[in-house]
Amino acid sequence: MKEKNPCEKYQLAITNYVLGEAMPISKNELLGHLKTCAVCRKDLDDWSDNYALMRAKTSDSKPETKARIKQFIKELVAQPGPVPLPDEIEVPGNVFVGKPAGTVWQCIGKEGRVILDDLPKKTGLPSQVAYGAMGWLLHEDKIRVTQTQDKVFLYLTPQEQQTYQANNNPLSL
Amino acid sequence: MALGTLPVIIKSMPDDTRSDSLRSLPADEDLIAAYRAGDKNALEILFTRYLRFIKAYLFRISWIQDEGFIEDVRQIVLMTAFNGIIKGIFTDTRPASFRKWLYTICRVVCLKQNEKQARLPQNISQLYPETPTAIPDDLSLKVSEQGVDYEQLHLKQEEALAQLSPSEQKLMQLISVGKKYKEILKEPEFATYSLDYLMRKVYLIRKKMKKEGE
Repeated sequence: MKEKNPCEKYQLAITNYVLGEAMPISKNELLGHLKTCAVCRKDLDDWSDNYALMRAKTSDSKPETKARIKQFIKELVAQPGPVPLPDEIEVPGNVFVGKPAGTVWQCIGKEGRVILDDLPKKTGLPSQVAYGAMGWLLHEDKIRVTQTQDKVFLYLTPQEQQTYQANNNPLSL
Repeated sequence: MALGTLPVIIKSMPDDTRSDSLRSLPADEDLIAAYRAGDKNALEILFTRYLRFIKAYLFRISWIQDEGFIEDVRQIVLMTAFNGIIKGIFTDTRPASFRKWLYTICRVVCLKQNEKQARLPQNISQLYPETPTAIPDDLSLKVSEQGVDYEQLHLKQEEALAQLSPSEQKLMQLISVGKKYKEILKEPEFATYSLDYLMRKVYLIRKKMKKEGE
């Protein structure tokens, strides 16, 4: 005589569980059983894998999906370098560095001298943006840097400081 | 395999993951080496080999089961893998290491995209409140860290499906397109079934497939 499967009721439930259908027993009852039964855990794993593979196979057998993904791979491997991912957006240089550089310049001009570590806080810019802008100002000879043992200071160059004062002096208007 | 022989083999590659051709493909490591040596076709073959398995793995671990969403995530996975290869992030040449790396990318990308899409759902019931017993979130992520050998499973599944009767095959086909029991019962072939009978039938078919696959 064929032996009855003691876990049949749970494995019936597992069938529906994976398919997202209503189960003959509660979810908690099944989860409780799964904690103690390795056979049913394996059954859940197997059925989940099989169902996922069947879905993938059916989905990929559609001619339009097949053609689209084939074209996508062809274009992808033809790229000469790394490709930007969909959640990456192009930021124009003037937005990423130009405008923040203006903010940093104004800040240093106003303060006269800024400690490097305070730059993001004083300008209100994210640190990588503030330091990027500072790099650009250094490259353009608009600021100068001095250093003590434990601090780095930023100044506008004398010429830039004059420009700042001329632009910001109400009497000059 | 000598790299010099690869382009000849590559020209005769299949364009799909058909079971009869899976075993005759060159190893992943050889394909990556061929790509690095300048053969772009090699990467196309490598990605084509894993297309279906990536999708299956994503269906397995994703909270969101929408086909379009899975397709989008698959494309991001491929782009991430491409960037990793091109930037030299993936350097392991041990057998099967590419598969493990690829499945790791799948897990990371899938999780990120799920969170983004659903704004950190605690469980799928929040996404689909009308579904009383959807895929268990606490269990769906407990997939082996090594990834599943879908290549092997694919071969077994093909054999098992071939052993089913035409009616059983039709039923499994309906299930694999994501049809619900209620929809299946509207099909003329299964209109005489009761819901309980259909549930039991699906259970018995999957048991039969499991037995055939062993």
